[in-house]
Amino acid sequence: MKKRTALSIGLILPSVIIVGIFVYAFIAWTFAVSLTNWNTLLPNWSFAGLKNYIYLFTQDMRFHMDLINNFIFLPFFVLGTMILGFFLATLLNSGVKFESFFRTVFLLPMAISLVVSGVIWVWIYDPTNGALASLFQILHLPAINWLGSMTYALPAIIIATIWQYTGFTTSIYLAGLRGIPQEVLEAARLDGAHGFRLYWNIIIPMVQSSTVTAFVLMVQLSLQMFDIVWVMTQGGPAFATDMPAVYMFIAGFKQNFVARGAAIAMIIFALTLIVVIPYIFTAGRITEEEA
Amino acid sequence: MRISKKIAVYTVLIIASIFFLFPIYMLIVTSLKSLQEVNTTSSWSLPVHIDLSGFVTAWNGISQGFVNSFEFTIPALIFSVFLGSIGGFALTKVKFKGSNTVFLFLLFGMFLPYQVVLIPLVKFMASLGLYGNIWSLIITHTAYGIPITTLIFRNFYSSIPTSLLEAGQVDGANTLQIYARIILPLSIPGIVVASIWQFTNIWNNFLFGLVLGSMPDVRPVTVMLNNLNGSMMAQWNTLMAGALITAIPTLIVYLIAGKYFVKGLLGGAVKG
Repeated sequence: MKKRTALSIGLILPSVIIVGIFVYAFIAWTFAVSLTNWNTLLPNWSFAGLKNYIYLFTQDMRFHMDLINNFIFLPFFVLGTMILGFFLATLLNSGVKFESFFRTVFLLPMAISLVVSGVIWVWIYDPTNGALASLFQILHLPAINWLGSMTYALPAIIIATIWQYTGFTTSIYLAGLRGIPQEVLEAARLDGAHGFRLYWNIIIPMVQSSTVTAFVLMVQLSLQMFDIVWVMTQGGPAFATDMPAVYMFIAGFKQNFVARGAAIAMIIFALTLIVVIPYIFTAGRITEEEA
Repeated sequence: MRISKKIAVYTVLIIASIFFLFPIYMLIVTSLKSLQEVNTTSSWSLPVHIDLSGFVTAWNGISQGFVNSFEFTIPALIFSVFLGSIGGFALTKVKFKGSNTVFLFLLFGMFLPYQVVLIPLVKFMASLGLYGNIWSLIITHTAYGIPITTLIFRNFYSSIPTSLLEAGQVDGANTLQIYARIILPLSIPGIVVASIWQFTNIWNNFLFGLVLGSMPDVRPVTVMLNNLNGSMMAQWNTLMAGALITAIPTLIVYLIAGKYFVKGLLGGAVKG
């Protein structure tokens, strides 16, 4: 038995060491840097306390814009992907023909890189020849420079990200709906639950774990949204689509504000923990019960 | 279902399909047009003449990245799937005290916003002398792939009955032999799911390539496509051809093995 335990630990040890370094030690390193004056090209480990955080929250207009943008982006993206995902999963689960074809189509964007999607959507939004511009011309509507507009750039990016991720939430909900026993639905129908009431009282509560999973994943994606923004607008025009993750990259890698970049990263991390920690511990408890 | 309801359901599904497919349609038709045609006719229309000049220009711009991406994706995929497999095996079939804690320790990495490791990652690779080396990307993608591959294999091995292993022990096989003779052959579906998921994830990644791909000979195709996007302003046929070239490997895998892709997606999402 001892030998088996030793072997088991031997099998898991490489992973534990690698994750220990690349996840936990690196987080500690980032936190340590965020408390220094390293806002220079050369490393400067002199202790600055919370100076970088205080600067971001009290003085840095760009960071304020980032938080506002992120908190506008988040509810539209999270609710958009979840509501559309639930709706499409419900339709797919209603015994339609070609169900696997539709499922394949909805999930297709998840298989391609956000860089590819970003480039395609920039083309769709192109103000002179893009697909939307062509459509607007046919409908005799005025031309709009979607990604160049302070008003429309952020919604344009939200639509592109909803396009990318709705297949994900659809799959999560479809798995949840498939997990509801037929007897439960039949019993509910016999009790007179139909249409809206069937959904509200039976189905939605029964896919609660899918809702929690989808919510946690989509919130976490929102908080670290970078790729598609970087490709489509680089945060512009005039920071209208700037996000904390974009500013983190600029500060940490382009402007040598290493400590400030680290502080932004820690803030993104802390916001993520709010949703992820309860999720991991409930998931952990569930798996313990199973085992 | 009543016929009217049926019509409504299919109508909505078809409208949704158009929403999900029209960007792909734009991608393909534009990549096959000449620049002139992109600029003069409606962008919706099919190409009048198939013109592959966009592909030629795009390929010249990103072919190096295409090769680079394979060079780090395949090794990182193999390493992370292997580590996930032996780790998942240890966590389910040779349980030890604290194995659940170890699992949570690894699982946490799945939800990591990469921003919080980006700066130390670059400094760490530089201190190892690997900055600008393909190994920096192989190691990085292996490390951040471990949480998801371990989770996929842990869930997968949970579904293999332990009685199969006990039969092996009666035969006098040790744990390693049980792994090689019984577990590994049974693991093929798990390996397929984890490999497809890792291939898609690593190939499509942008952020690690952006901070580690300083030299053209290690730069991933996604970063090169983004650079093309910056340098080929309004050359939409070239950009769409480049985007299509970048998307082709993962699209092919998805269209052939979509079933396993969904399993990887849900293996990392639903069972937690």
